[in-house]
Amino acid sequence: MPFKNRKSDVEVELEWLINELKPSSDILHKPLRLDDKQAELVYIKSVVDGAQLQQIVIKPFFELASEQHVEAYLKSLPNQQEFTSKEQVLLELTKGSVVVKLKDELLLFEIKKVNTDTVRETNIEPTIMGPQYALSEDLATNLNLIRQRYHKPSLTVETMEIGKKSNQSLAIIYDEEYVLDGVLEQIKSQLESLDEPVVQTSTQIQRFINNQKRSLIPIMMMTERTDRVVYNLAGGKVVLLLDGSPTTIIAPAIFWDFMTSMEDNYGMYWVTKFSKFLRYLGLFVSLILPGLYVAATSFNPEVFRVELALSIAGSRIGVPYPSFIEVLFMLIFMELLTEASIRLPKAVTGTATTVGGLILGTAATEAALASNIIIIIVGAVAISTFVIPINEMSFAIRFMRYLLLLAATLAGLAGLTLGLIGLLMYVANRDSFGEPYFKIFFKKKQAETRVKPS
Amino acid sequence: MSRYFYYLVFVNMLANVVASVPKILLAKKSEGAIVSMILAIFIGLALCYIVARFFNAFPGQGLPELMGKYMPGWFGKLLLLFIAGAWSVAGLITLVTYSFLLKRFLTPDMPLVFITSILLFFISYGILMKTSSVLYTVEFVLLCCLPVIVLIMIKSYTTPELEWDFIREAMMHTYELPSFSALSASTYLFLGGFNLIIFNRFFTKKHKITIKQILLIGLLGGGVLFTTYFIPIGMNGFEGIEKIAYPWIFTSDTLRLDLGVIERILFVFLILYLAISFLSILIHWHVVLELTKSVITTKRFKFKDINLTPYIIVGVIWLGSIQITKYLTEYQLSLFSSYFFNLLLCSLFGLISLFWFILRRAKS
Amino acid sequence: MIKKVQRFGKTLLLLSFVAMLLIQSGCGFKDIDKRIFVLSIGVDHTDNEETPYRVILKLAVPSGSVKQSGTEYTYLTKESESLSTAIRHLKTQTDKELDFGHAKVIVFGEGILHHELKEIMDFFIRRRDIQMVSYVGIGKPSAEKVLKAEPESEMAGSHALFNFFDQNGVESQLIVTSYLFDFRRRVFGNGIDPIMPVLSTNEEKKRIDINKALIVNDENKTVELNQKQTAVYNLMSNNFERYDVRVKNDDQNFTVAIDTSEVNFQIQVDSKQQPIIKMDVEAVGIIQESDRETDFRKLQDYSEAASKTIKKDLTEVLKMFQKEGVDPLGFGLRYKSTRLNNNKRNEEWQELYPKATFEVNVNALIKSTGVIE
Repeated sequence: MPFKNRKSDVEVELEWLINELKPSSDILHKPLRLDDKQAELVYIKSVVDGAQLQQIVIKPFFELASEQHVEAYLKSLPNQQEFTSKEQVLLELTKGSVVVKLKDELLLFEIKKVNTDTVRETNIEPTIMGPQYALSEDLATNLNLIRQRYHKPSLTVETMEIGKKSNQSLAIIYDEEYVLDGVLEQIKSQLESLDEPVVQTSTQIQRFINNQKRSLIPIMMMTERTDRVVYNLAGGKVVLLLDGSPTTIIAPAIFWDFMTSMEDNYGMYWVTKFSKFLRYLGLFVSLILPGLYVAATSFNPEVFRVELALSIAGSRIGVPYPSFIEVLFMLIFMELLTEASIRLPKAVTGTATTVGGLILGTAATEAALASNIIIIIVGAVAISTFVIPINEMSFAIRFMRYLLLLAATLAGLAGLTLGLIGLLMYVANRDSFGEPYFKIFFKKKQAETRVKPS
Repeated sequence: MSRYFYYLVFVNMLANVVASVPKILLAKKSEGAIVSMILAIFIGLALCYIVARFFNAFPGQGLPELMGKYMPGWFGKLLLLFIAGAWSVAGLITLVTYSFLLKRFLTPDMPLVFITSILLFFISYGILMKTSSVLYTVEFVLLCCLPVIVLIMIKSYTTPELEWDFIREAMMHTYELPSFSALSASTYLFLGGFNLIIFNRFFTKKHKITIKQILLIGLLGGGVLFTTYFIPIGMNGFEGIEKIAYPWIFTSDTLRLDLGVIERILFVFLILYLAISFLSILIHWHVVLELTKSVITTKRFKFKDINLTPYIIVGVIWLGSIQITKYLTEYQLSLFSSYFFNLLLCSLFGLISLFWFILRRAKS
Repeated sequence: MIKKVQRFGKTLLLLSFVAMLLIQSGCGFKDIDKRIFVLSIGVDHTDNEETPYRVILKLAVPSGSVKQSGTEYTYLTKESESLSTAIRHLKTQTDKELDFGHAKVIVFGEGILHHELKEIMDFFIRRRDIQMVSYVGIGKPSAEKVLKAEPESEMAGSHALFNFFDQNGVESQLIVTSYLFDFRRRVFGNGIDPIMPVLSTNEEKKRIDINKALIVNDENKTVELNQKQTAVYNLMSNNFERYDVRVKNDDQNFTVAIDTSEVNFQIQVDSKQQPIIKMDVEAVGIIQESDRETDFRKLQDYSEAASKTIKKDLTEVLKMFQKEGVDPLGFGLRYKSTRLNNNKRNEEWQELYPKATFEVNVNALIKSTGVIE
């Protein structure tokens, strides 16, 4: 390539870059000149760490003796990036890279300013044992956190851009040795065909690559816990990590994953078995209790003991509406309370719960709008919903409860049973990236997390 | 054998405890019911073994695939339709029986058609699922039911009201010639394995079939048969037992959990059998659906890339079952089920010779 | 546009389906406060042949707070030609739906026993909502009086009659418990006769006594057992393992409380003329009361004395059963159940039973003299 031509080529490229970014006010094009050394810097001020730029590029430029020295120094820097096309450079510039024109070459350096790399305490899935810090909102920091917990050369990180407009980077992390190829292929192809302008959080991805237009149960698991991420990586799952999102999603995820708390691996055998049992009991109770109440009061009062029947009948004296409206009424208020306490600032939540829970409940029974027993039931349901460790699942359960209530209202105990089986069939009919969602595993964990045949 | 095979067999065994089988057996209590039951265990096990062995030779293939390969087209299709018919009657018997039961015991104020529709609503969703999903559902529901079954078993054998003298009185009728209808009804308990004609598609690996496994099925089946026949007699006396319309429902009401959440076992039993009957219908009609789907392959039933055939079959099932539930009386139901069991046992030997034929063709 | 219409249509279809179901649900849906629970049913005989049955229902009226005011009871009565017509009439007497699901006690008046038992029982067996585990008893002087008696100890929300029969409440050797299904199988079965407790009340209706039993044999003949015979029956039928026996020795009278017992019997027919009913009794107990000081070393002697007394008691009762031609223990059933069926066993036993002799072996063991010697 002739010298002159090449030179103009570089100039043209630089020109093009500047023009592309021009209308913004925070674009900087800074020539550096000392004696016979000269260079040009192009970057966006608001995403580049100025102090670091000064430290790494500008200061050495003035201190080093000649242009050759500068070039050798710059090319040895660890944060130099590959230069593939000018579109790519443009994208990198928007993410916080600096283009340096030295002699007749364009060099690209990543000198990002990141304000979101503080590692936060676990917030969504707190545990007593196990690590107390979760992830940050910065991809690099998060990758660091994960790598620091999983030292294995076969751990692979692939990055790609997603979001037609926002171009967020997404890391696909997996352990080469254990990952199921089919699952990985499927996830990648679905991610590539994703056609969304802006992707903000990793949970959004879960919704987009779900196969179904309307789905009820999650088939990927969202988590903020690094220990869960590592545990699942070791089990051969794929972890998706989006820049700017403090949570990861893990795929494939089956039903039992959602019922596992990380503490199950840390505690004593019987203690964890017991807490697991409690969790499933909570799941069951929160699902069927409202329906059971309707079935037992309005269809089959002879099922339970006579004393219970009489005391329910007594406490329902004066309640104007049929049992299912009574249940629905109290349940909806409970849901509103839950929603309110999520949205409210932390300081007010306590008051809201007290006012809502205590006063509303007592007043409703006093005013004979609801029976005493229904207050107990709604309370029990509310508590047991929170026992489910992963939020998405507990939200899904919250919804399923109403389906069962409907079934019980229509056909009593028989309806409740059939509804339960129906839900079961719905869940059993799903799969998560080819893995059956609701299947009982009898074999040991080692046998289930297959080692890939080599 | 894969554990799912046992589920198929076991669901069929359990589901018929509540349906017509005990009624037929008890009607023949002094006409050779006991000998028929003993004979049935052997015949049932032999059939079970044959069907398991046969399908083990063709892993991952159901009967339609085998027919397509080794049989002339029209003949195979006709045969498959015939089998589908038999299976749909099997499911229908369970459906109608349970609808009657619900109407009688759990929701007496509800119209029968409504009860049947609710059952059908969930079953329709179930049979349209993938074969593997059907099996996962069966497994989970069965595992949930198991503790309850064990509880009821323990309770019924340990209750002080169980009068062994009545049972012994019934046993004194051993020396009687077997009756064919009792034989066919009790053999029916062992026929769950024949669902492999479709479910074998799921069993893609070859398994070993050992004597131990067959003995286990025999033991379970024998236990179920013994309990089905003798516990109602022990609780309700030998005389007059044949007059009871639903022997086992009646018997379950004679048990009481003094300290349980639910005092009357009747309700536990009804809910349990709702689940198990559901599974039985699900399995049978899933087989029907898949068989019919393999027969009707025309492109005509299509609407915007969606194959409508399964939906049409489901529609036919809805129509048929609702009409039949409306017109059948309890007496007719038990009579027709008895006829069905007799016919089924005879035609099974035809099916077995078909297996033999396919096996010979496949070898050559 | 087409897509939109389709989606809208789908939603509409779903909504209309749900709405249809909701309208449908009116049929089975009946709230618990619109029902009234029948706790016990009584059937008496009237002298009027047109309307021979008199049905009494005891209903529980729930009140706002069970703990404070308790459950109140109310009664409905109707005479009619059949039980079901009576019930149908009674339905119009309340503003709520009668729910028989919790009816756990069925009391027959004594007069009704002269009717065919199968006929009376039929209604209760046939109805789906009456429990097979309901208790059956005989009311004296009438079922109505027994049902209407409200003992002082009857607590809020718990029906006294339930507690009498329920082994969780009172336990006594004098109470014979008879379930409806047990009653049925004894009525139907040849070779075993129904036995029911007798519930009697006094005029003030403040007390219910259950300490006797009544046996009905195949010819509808009734035999009433007194307290002692009832206790002996309970021991022999393994219903109740406890038995108090007053031993009158030559020099010393004492009471033994048996707390564990097991009774077995066999029927031996070696010669057709003289069948032997052999009964073995194993009993373990302690001395409860004595008019003299007991001697620790003489436990063996006490045991023998007790055995003798028990043997005497049992033989007496068995002979009485034989004389009256009743068989509540099921000797006939045992005879049938140990011999191969020849379709004539019933008749054979009818002939054999009056000729049978009893051989009672009692092996009582007194373990202790109680807290003092």
